[in-house]
Amino acid sequence: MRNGIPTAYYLFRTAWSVMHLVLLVALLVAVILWSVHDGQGARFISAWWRMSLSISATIFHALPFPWELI
Amino acid sequence: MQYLFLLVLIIVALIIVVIVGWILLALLIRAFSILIFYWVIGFSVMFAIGLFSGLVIPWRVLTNRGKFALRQLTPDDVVTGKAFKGRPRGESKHYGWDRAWPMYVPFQARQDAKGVVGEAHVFLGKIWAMIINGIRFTPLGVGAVLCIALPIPFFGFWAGVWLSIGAWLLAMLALGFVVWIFQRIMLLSLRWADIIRRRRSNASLKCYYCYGESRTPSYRCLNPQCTIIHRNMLPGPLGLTTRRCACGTQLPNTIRAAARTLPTLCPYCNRELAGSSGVRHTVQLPVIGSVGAGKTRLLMAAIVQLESWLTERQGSINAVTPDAQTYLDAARLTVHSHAETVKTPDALPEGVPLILRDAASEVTELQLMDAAGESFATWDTTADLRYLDNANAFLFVLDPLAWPQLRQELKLGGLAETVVVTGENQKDSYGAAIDRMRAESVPLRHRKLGVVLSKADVLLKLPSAAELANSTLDSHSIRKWMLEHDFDLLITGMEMDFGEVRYFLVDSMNSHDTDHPLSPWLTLQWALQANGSTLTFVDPEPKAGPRRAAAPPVPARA
Repeated sequence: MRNGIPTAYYLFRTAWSVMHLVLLVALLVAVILWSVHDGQGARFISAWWRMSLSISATIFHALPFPWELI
Repeated sequence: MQYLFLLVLIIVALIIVVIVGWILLALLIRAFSILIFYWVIGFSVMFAIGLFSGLVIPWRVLTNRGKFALRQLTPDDVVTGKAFKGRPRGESKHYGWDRAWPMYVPFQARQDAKGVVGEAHVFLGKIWAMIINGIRFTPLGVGAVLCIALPIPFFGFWAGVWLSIGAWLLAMLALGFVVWIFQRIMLLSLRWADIIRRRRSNASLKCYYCYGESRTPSYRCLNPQCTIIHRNMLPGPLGLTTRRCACGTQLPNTIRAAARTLPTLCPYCNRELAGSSGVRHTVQLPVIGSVGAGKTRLLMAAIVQLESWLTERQGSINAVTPDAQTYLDAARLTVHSHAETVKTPDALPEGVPLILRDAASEVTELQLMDAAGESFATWDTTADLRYLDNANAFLFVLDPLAWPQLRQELKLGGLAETVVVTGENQKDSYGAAIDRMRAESVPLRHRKLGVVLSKADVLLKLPSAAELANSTLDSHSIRKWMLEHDFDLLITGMEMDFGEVRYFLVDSMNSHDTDHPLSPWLTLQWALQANGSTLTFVDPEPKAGPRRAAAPPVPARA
């Protein structure tokens, strides 16, 4: 018993948390490895950045000022 | 002219309004395009933050640091049926679940999952409430900025947190499922292994106090301060190989394991029984007969002979309780000193539990149920003798000297003073016991009866028994003699009642070899075998004894 609760409960709860951490760290490692490989990460971020800017620019130019039409 | 001027003015004003509106709309769209960029960045960054914030939530909940009240199951929840549905099965079902901690998977795991989801709700709800309050209770301009700037990044955070919590739930579900499958396989294996092994050894608990029979004994917790009684130690929702009592003490699961270490209790009267009761074959041997028929003497002589028979063959006989030890000592003393047998008190008998172990270490618990003859006087007095219902074989001790013809010969031979003869109607004793069992619907045709003619030492001196004395003294010749000497009605009744009736002639006063046809040991051997004892015995058929020209030596009745 630990703090009035069976030790098995603590072991299982720790197991869930460790598995959760492992899953997220694995996800992070996978993302980092993928990013590092052949500059994919940099390309993804720049593409994502460009896409964000492109969306922004598209909307920005959606309605020109009146004098721009002249 | 005035109207024309007014029209021009209106047109100019409209053009100005349209141009100003256009410019304002274009400015708004440009501002919105910047906001879109901010939202995309904000959503993405907060999503990543939410993903890792979700890591903290389960940890906070499971260490009781969360805001959400995690439901911790306790032994009280088990007892009140709140921990899980379903009721226990088997003989102990009427007691409900034992006061012990439930297994973590799946019962507490389910509550933990609910706790984590609840904590995520509370956590995100609090942040959302802070945003709403920030918008509501700040100056209009700041509120408007917050209203535009915060919600979208918050939704990114929200999505990140829930994705993380989803991963936690997935991990729990996957690992929990594997654990649950393993537990189910283990549970069924352990449970059935325990049941089958006990069934194979024909093990059951027979209480020598209240006569109750059970295949699921109760056990008291190992902790001397704890008074909790565990009614069903089979693997189940409270544990596989071990369970945790509400007091925190770890107890072994399975009845075989529990019997090795825990104090055993009768599930009916809650009295403590001998260790390992319930996991060995137990024979309750009921002896029927009227007052003075020779029941107690027969049992004492038989048990002393059994002891010597077992010890000669590397076996042993041990008293289970102090009272049984006293009985064993008294039996040795009475038999070896040929002393008069003390009258059995007219009270509800406690069984005398003895552990018999043969050379092959096969064990049988023999409980001698020696009720006073008064107990068989009427149907009412036999009503309390519930052990009669459970036994497979009975011994009916019959005093042949009480029969009128033999009583007459006893007087004529001057032997009337040497022996106590029962003064009661022995048929009534038999009838009272049988009526009690019939009333309880005991299938007597599947039961066996050993009819024991006692006091052979005196009987064989009488003229009417001369033919018997010269016979082989086996069951057949005893039956034949009884039929020829007015026992025919009784024999017919007994043989109609029981599936098997075996006849013995016993001399409990003198020492005989165990293979002697008058040996009391043969009755015990037959009863043990008839009750399915796995002890190794010699041939149960009494060897054809030498045709005895003379009666056995005169007993030294003190």
